[in-house]
Amino acid sequence: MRRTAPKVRLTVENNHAWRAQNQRQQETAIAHFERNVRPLLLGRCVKCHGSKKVEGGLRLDSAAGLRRGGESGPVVDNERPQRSRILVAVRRVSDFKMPPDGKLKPSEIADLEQWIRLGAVWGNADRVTSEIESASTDHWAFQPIRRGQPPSTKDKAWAQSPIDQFVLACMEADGLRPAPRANRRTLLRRVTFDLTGLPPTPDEIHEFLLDESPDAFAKVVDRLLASPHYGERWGRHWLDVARYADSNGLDENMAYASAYHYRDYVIDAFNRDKPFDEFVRAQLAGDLLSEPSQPSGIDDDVWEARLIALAAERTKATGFLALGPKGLREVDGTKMELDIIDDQIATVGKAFLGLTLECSRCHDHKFDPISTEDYYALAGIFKSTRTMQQIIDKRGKGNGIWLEREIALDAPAMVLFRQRDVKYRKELRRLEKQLGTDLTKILRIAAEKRSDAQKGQLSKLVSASPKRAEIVKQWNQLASAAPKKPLTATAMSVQEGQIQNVRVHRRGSHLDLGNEVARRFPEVLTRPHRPSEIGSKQSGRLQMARWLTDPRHPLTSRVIVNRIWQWHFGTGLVDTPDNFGHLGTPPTHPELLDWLASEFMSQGWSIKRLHRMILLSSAYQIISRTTDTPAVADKTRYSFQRRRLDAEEIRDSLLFVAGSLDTTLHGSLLKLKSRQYVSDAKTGKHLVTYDNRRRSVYQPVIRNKVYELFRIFDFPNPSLVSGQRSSTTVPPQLLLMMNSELVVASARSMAKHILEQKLDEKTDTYCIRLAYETAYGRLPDEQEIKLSVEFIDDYRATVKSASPAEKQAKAWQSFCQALILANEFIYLE
Amino acid sequence: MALTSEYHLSRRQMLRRGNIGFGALALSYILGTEGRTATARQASHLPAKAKRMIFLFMKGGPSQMDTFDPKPRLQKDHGKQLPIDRPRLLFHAVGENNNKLFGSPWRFRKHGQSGIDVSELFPNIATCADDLCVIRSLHGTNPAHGGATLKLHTGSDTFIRPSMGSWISYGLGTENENLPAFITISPTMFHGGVNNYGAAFLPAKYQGTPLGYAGAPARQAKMEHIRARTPAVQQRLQLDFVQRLNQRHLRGANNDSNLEARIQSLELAFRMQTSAPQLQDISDETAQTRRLYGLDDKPASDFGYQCLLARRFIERDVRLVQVTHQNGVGHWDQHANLLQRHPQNAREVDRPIAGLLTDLKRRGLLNDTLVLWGGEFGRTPTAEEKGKPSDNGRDHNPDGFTMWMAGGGVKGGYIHGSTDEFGYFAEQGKVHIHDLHATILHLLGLDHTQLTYHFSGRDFRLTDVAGEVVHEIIA
Repeated sequence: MRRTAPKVRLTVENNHAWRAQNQRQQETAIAHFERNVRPLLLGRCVKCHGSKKVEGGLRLDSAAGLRRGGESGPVVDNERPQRSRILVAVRRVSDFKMPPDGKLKPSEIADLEQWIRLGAVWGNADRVTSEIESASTDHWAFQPIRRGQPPSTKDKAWAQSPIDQFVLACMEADGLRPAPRANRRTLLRRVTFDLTGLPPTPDEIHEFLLDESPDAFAKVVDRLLASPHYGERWGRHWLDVARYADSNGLDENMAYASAYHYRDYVIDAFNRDKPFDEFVRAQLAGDLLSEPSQPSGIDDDVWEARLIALAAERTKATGFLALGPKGLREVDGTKMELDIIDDQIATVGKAFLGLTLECSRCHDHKFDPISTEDYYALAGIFKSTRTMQQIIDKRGKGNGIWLEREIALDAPAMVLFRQRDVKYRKELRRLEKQLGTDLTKILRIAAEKRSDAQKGQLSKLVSASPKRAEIVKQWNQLASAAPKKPLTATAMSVQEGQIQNVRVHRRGSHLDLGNEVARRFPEVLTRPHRPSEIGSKQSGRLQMARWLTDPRHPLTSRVIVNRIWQWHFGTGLVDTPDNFGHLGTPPTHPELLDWLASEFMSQGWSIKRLHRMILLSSAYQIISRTTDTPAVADKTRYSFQRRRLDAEEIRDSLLFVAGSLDTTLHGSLLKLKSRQYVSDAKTGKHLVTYDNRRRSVYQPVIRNKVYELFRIFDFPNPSLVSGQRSSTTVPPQLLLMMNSELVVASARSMAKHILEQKLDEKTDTYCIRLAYETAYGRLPDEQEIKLSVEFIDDYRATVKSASPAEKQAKAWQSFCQALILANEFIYLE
Repeated sequence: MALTSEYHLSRRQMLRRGNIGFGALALSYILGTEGRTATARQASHLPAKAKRMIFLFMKGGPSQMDTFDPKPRLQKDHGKQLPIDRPRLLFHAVGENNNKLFGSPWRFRKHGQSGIDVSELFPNIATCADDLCVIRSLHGTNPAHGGATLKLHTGSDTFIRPSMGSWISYGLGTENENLPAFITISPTMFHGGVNNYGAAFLPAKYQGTPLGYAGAPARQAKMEHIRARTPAVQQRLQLDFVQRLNQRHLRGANNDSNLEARIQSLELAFRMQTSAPQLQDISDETAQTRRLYGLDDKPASDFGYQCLLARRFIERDVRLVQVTHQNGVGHWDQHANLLQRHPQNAREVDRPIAGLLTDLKRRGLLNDTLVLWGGEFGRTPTAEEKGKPSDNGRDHNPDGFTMWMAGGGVKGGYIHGSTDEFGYFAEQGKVHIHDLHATILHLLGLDHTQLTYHFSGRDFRLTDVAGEVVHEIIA
C-alpha cells in the first residue's frame, strides 16, 4: 500500500474510462515494441534514419517520423499491414533492400510484422535514439528550474500555504474538492510517526488536545523537528538512498565495523539541519573541501578544535562512496575494482540525479542521453579515487581491503595534545642537539630493547661527562612525560588516488577496451551550466560535488524535494524518485515541483524549513481514506493515504508500548571487528545479534542476512539505492506478531504497566482506555470497551492456574497482544 | 509479460510497474482476488514436463574427475605437467608448481543398462544410473565461491538479482496456499547467503523460506515463529477478538483491500502453525523409508533427513525445495586432503540421494519432479602443491564441470557434453549457467525469454540476455 499525492490519483481516474477497454491489447503491443522493435530500429535503422542522417527523408527515431514516412510516402500501411513499405524493404523481395549493410534475421522481420499487425504502436518515450540530440535534451527533467507564481484558486479559505494553491488549483480544474481536515488525535499520530518514527506519548496527546491557540499544530511540528529522534527517522530515509549497510555482502560477508560513523554523521546532519548542498558536497568530496576561514572573535584554540571536528565529520561523510557492496574475494582484480566503481556511479546517479547511469556500462543508455563515453568519463573520476587499500594480495589472490582513515573523536583534547606535542618535540630536539646523534640514537631505543653493546656505550658516554649525564637525565624525564595522543577511530572513506582516465569498455568488458575518455560529467547535463575544469592532478570529485550543487543544476534540487515530498505523502510528485529519466514518471504537478525546488534553494537548502512548509499545508492535514476505493465512486475529494508502518517503526512501537525503548543516540551495536565474518566459519552460526532495546536505526544492517524482522517487513535491499519501500502483507509477518519473543515480551510488559494502575484502584474501563491510548493514540468507544471487557473475562476463564493474579496477568497480556496484532496498530491514518 | 501473480500487489504498485493495466485490475477486483495472499495457479508459457523441482546443492564444488566424468588420459599422465594453457583467472593454485596432473584415486564403472559412468564414491547413486541425465559440460560461473554460488543461484555474479527459486515461484505460483512455494533447507549463510534464495526486486513473497542454516543440524531447522506460544483454544479466542477489532476498523476504512489482505493473512498464519510442523514430523514414515534415506547411518542421517523433508514438501506441492550439503567446515572444497574428505562427503550424501530418487520413483513423483545435483563449480585436474602430506587436493574450476538431473522430463541414462581429455575445459555440447537456467525453466513450462519483471525502467530475466535451452537432454 502506498500513500499518494493528489494528482497521481486524478490522472489515473481521468484515464480510466478511455483506457480500460483496450488496455490489455495496447500493453501487449507496447511491450512488444519496447522489447523487440525499439532495439531493432535503434540498432539497424536510426544511424541513417535519425537525427544525423535522414536518408530518403525518413526518420525512424520517433513516432512522428514514422507517421510522416519518407519521400516516397508512408512506410506503414495500416489497412494492408503486409504491404507496408518497411516490411517490403526488410524482406528484400524488390530492388529496395534494407538495411543496406546486411539483412535482418527472420525473427527480427517477424518482430516487425507483428508490430505493424498490432498497429505499429510506439512505446512510452517519444524517441528511440540514444544519441545526444535535441529531442532527448528536451526532456523535462533536463530543463532549467522555472519558478512560477502559485496559482489563484476559487476557494480562498482552504489554502494555508502556496503548496495548497498548486494542489487545489489542480483539483478545481478537475472539479474535485479536498477531503475535510483530520481530527487532532489522528493528525498528531500522523505527524509524530512521520517526523520521529515513534507514536506520540499520552502526555503529548493531552498537551496538543488542550492547546487552543491557532498555532498549536505549528508548535507540535517545531517540537518534533527539534527532537533528536527526528534525525534518527529522516537520517534513516537517507540511509535507504545511500544503500547503507554494516557488511560488504556479495561474496564473503565481512563486517564493516566502522560504517556506523557514516550513519551517525547522517543523523547529525539531519538533526542540525545541515544545508543539503553542503551535505552533498561532503559526501562526495568531504576530504577535498577547503577549510572555512576563521571568523573574528573566535579563540584560536576553539577554532582549531572546530576544524579538527569538521575534518572528522567530512571524512565520515565520504563513507557514502565507500560503504557499497563489494565482492572482496573476486579473483579478477580489475573486475573487482570496476564493480566497486559501478556501485559508486549507480549510487551517485540515482541518489542525486535520479538517473540510471549504470545502464551505460555496457551500451549507450537505451532511453536517456547517456553514452558509454559519459559512463567511462565518470568511471575515470572514481578510478582516480582511492576506495580500496588493497585489491589483490601479494600471492595474486583476490583479497580486497577497504580504506579506513583516522578521525579524531575528541577535538578539544586533540588541540591540547597537538600544542603540547609541539612544545615537547621542540624541547626534546633542544636536548638532543646537545647530546649528539650517537647518544640520541641509543636513547630513542626503548630501554628494555637496547643491546648490551648499546647499554655499554650509553653508560660510557654518560659517565664520561657529568654535564652530559644531567642532560640525559632531563631527556629521560621529558620523554617519560610525553603527551599522549587522545583516542581516535577510523572511518570508511575515500581519498584521491592515482589520477587517470579510463578507456571505454566495450560491452562492459575490461578485456575489450576502446578509446580513452577524459574525466568529465554527462554531456547532456553540462549544457545549462559548465562545470569547472578538472585539473590533471585531481580526480574530479570536487568539481562533481560543486557542479551538482550549483543552483542552476536542473536535477539535484528537484530530486531531493521530490524525495522529501514522497517521504511525507507516500508518493512523490514524480512517482519514480530514483528515476527522473525518460522511463521515469513525469511530475504530476510540474509547477509545484519547480516552485518547491526553487523555494528550497532560496531558503538555503534547508530541509527543516521544507518540512515545515509541507506539514503546515492543508494538503498534509486532511483525513485519509482507502488506497483502493474504486476511483470513479469517489471523485469528489482527494485525501491523505493510509500507510503501513515501516519495519523500524513497527519494532520501535513495540518497544514503546512496552515502555522499554532505550533512546540513547548514536553508536554501533555490531559486536564484530572489521573484516570479521558475520557468520562463524565452522558452525555457520550468525554472529550478529539484535536483542537490544535501542531504536531500530541502530540495528546492524547485514547484507545477505538482514535482521529477520526488517526483512519480513519490507526493509529495502541494502545493496541498492532505494528511494521507495514497498509494503507487502505475507503470513510470516503475522507469525512474527503472534509468536515472536519480541512481541510477546512487549505485550507482557505493556500489560504489566497497565495493571500497575489497577493497584491504584483504577477500573477495568480505565485500564482499557489507557491500553487503547498507548497502542493507538485514541480512546475506545463504548462498544470497544464492552468487547474488551468480555474478551478479558473469557480469556481469564481459560487460563489454568490457581493464582488469580496469574490469570489476570495472562488475560491482560493476551489483550495487549491483541491490540498489537490488530490492523490499527501498524496502519497509520 | 504481465503475470497474474501480480494480483496481490496494491493497485498503485501495479500501476507503478507500468506494464499492467486496468483490464487486469478490474478483473481482479471483480474476482475479489486482489489483496489476497493466496495465489492462483499461474498460466505457463509452455507445456510443463516438470511441476516441481528439488535442487541438491553440493556446496564447495565436487570434483567431476572423481565422480561422473572419468578421464583415461588424466590417469595415464598422472604426475606430468598439464600440457594445455590454464585459464586467465586462477583462484588458488597460482604458480608453476601447481600444474601437475592428478589422476583420480577412484575407480569408475559403467552402471545400469545405459552404462553411465559413476565412480566408486557413489555406490548407491550408481544403482539409479538409468535415471540420471549427466551433463558433463557445465561452465561459466566464477572462480571464487561467492561469485560462483551467486551465479548459479541468481544468474549474476556482479549484481543483486532475484534467485532462480524466486523466479520459479513468481512464474508458477503455489498450489498449496498453506505452504510457501519455495523452501530452502539448511541454506548456506556464506557466499551470497540470503541472496541465493532472495527475491531482490521481485515482490518479497517470492523469496525462499529458509529452514535453519548450513552447519546447524537439519532436525533443528524450523520455520521462524511457527510455534504458537499458547494452546490453540486460547490463541483462537485471541484471534477472534483481533478479527472483530479488524472488522470494525475495516468498516471505518472503506474496506481498504490492504487491511482485508492482512485479515486473511492472519488466518493463513494460524493454519500454518499446524500444517508446517506436521510436515517436519517424520514419525509417520516407515522404518524402511527411513533406512532408505540413510537415517540409520550417522554420517548420512542429517542429509538424509533433509532429503526426506524435501520429498514431504514436494508431495504437498511446494514448487521448489533446495537442500544444501555443507557439513560445517570445508564441505566439498578440497584444496587439500581430497583422498580423505571426498569419500566422507560422498558417504554423507550417497544413500540419501539414492533413497530420494528411489522413493520419488516408487511414489510416481519422479516423472514430474525435476531433481538437480551439483555444486557451484567443479575442480581442476591438477593438484595443489604446498610440499605437505595433505597435498592431494584440487583447485576451483568454473570452466568445465558436471551436474546431473533426474526425472522431470529429462532423458534418463543419458550423458550430455564433454570436457577435454583432462577434464579441465568444457568442450562439446557446452552448457553455460544461463543455458542451465533456461533449460530448467523450460522443463517447468516457462519460457526464459518471456519470464520477465519490469523494474527500474526495464524488463529483467533470470537469463539476462543469454541462455539457450538444451533440447538434447529433454525426453
